[in-house]
Amino acid sequence: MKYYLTLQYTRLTRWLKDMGINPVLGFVLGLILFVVLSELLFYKTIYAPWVYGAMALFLCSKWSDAKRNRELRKIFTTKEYYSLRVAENILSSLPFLIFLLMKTAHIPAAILLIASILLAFIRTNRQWNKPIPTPFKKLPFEFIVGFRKSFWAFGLAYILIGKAIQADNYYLGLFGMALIFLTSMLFYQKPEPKYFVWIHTHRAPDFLKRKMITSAICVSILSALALILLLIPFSENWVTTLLVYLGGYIFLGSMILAKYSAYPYEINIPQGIFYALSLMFPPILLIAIWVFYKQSKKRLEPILEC
Amino acid sequence: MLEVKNLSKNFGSKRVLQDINLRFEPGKVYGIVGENGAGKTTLFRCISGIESHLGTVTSPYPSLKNHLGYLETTPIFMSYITGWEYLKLLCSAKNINTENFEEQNIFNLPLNQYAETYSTGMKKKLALMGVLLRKNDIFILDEPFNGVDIQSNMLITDIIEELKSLNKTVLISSHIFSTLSSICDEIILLSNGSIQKNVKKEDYEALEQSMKKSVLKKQLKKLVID
Repeated sequence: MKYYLTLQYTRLTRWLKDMGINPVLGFVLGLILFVVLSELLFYKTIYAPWVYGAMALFLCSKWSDAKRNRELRKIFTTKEYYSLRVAENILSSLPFLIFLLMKTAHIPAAILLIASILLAFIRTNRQWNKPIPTPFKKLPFEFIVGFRKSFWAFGLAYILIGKAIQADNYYLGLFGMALIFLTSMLFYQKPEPKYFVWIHTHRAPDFLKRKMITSAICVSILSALALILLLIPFSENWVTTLLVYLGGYIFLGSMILAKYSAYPYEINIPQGIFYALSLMFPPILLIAIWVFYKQSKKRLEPILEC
Repeated sequence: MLEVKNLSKNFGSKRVLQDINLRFEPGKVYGIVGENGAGKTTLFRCISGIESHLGTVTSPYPSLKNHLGYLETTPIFMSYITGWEYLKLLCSAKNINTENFEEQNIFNLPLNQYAETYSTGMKKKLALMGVLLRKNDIFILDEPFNGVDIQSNMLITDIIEELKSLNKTVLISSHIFSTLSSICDEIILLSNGSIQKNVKKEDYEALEQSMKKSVLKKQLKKLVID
């Protein structure tokens, strides 16, 4: 178990090195960022301890993936496996626990500790033999995979829109609609294996165009009802609604370009920061789209046009 | 004709392929043999264009990859994708609008199940079906018989014979020498990233004997089995 955890630490330092960051500097910067964001959260809302606890548990839940746990069970004895899972979860929630204790939020801290231990005994993301039906069957592959993994998020988005109409809270409804686009953007987070790009017979610009058209069709299927539901009861806000809706398409398209700008690797930290900034300041987004398009074309050409 | 000239490949400072020169003609089946790590898969990936390399790969086609079907040793399947959706992805990527995969399901695969839940052999068969559906002229099949049941092995052998009769070029790697010797017109022995021998049908037996002598017996002595 000790060797396994050491190995994970080694993997993390290698990942930082691959990103061009000195591991020591990476850990120090990470710690500073963690403290600053935590302080900001506690300053902004009185519900911070609960939001904070939920964030820690969300992080722990990432270790509960069924496939990952199946592999761990193959390697370790039952006792070792559960010890490892508990250790992983405690280590992941430790920074949050320390911060909660520093803020004298003892009850959330205790609940977080118990919940993170209990979470070690749960496996998530099980893949059943019976496929979840999707309207994207003929439009492989990002939305098929993404929808089956995150269909609950779309359900949540529509619940929020329903609540927004019920409570006459426009911005809650707007958030619900934005959630559909944000969730869809996550489908383009990770690069697919090279083979799945290589199989395309299109040139790089066509490939990118097709990816964007497919994503636009798929996200329209998911979000059209949300748009109608918001436009009818909140007709006085139609300009804002349409702007956010249109913005969703632009953000989704830019996410595809950002993904392939680093392909076959994941977006590195400087690219990620640039992209995050461009999302916050839309004028930069126009430059980002152009830069990412050029980079994507360059990255894809050797694979698609060989 | 597919021609490989002075192909070399480095991974960092390590040279894994060294000055490979080969010619592959239509209507012929070529077997590539070699130990694990000899460079067979890397050679296939370089020819297909998935890996960058030094040297040239020329073909009569403006874009070789659009006429080339490549079956990987271990086909990768994305999670939450059914067999049917996998085939649809492969076909639509080449603008082939077919959807009647059930009719062409020669291996009787459960196409409505998640491909990731298939057994090793089923995965190989699904990937091969995808490669065949894309209607190519050149086929690279990396270990097509691995993990596949005996009936399907016979079917794959028949498919290769059929491809040959259709004047397609087929490159296969396999560790099963008997299978290769029965279907290949030529066998290329790759060792440490270089071509060691290029053997015609009449010399297959001699090649098998020399491989046994030089590798198997020597290596077996190193292993202590108690």
